[in-house]
Amino acid sequence: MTYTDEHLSEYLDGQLAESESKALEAELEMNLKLAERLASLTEANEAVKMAYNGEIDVPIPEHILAMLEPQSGAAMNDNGAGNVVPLAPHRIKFNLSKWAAPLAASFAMMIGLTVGRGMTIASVDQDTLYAQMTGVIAIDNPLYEVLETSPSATNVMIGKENNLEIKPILTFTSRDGNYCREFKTQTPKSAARGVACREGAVWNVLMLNQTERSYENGFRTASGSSDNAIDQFIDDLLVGAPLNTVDEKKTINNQWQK
Amino acid sequence: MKMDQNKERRDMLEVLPHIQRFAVSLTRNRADADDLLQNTVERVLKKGTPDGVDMKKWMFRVCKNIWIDEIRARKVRVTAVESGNITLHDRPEWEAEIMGRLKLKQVKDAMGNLPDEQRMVLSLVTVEGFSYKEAADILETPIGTIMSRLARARRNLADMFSTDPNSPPYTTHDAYRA
Repeated sequence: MTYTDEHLSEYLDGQLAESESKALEAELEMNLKLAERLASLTEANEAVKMAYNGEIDVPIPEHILAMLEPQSGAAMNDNGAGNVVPLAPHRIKFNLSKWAAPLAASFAMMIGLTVGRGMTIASVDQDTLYAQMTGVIAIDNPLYEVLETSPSATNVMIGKENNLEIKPILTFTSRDGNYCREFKTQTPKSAARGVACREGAVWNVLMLNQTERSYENGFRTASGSSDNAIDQFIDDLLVGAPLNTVDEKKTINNQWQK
Repeated sequence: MKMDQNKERRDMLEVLPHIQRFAVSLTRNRADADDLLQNTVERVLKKGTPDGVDMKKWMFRVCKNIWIDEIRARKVRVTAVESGNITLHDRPEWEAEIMGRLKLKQVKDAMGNLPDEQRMVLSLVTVEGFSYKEAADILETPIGTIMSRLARARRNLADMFSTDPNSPPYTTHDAYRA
């Protein structure tokens, strides 16, 4: 059997038939040159994947989002007719599922809005969603669940239409001996970066920086502190090196007990 | 065919970050990527989405076509394509460490040196996670072409990342006999 880069490339993508994969794996054990080749193709592939990973977090320019504002009074459009209604500069509203409801409710409570627990929220605007998010996170808040159970660099999509994304970035131990996590949240219009520490059995968001697009100036800090301040905050808080993936997994499995 | 216009817009919003990333991988220039993204949105809004078509695949296809049309319109693929001109979203240091010896700029430059056809398929399959069949649908290309372009793209990148100056380019040993 002669193997080419195409075979290795298909193997890398899991596109080879099972029997072909097994034959190739057997050959890889015997053929060092082939194994080295697979390693270099894999390395190239992973590097590209990683290099573009962060691009998904870059907010969409405001003027493009504005093109997709919902149309009022024109719910139906004729495909192919080119019937584009002028854009209205009102806010995008999102329909959020049961997952998003407690999150929104939690945020709303933090800024003093009254939203009852279990209340169905049909839509929540960005301001409500990304209002000042500090303090202890309620246990029924999806952010709590993500911080509690998701490994770093894992995107967790929230909401029926996946309009919310939460991603833990880094896990480390604080000077107080608590586990802390840096995290990001994102909607199509804005993003936030924060630090939460596990104190007892709760997650306490100690710092949050929200950015959103403005029409005039691109990014602007909407609330909280700047990214640099968060970096500085983490530097001051952190003791030793951040947890590696293995230790982080153990810690999560151990439910954050020392 | 009638379609719920607001649903179409919501579907587009969901796909938008992926199209933006694809646009960045094609143009390697933030301003051009924004233009490409905007043109894609405009065209989908204007032409509509065929009934029963997956919005994600549809938008990628429209984006790809606009990019190719733009190239054709320019006749020469200008090196607007200046390498080093795009700032990929900053990665935390620990992630850079995961990348090992390969630095972000090195990867970015290497991607920039790939032919468009290879970069497009690599971006769709490796970065966006489309299957070969889906990538073939988006690029309107036979699946065999997808496979060979992908292999060539990875081979080219591996050659560019090779640190041993004495090792012959991999392109000379295309096959490995068992």
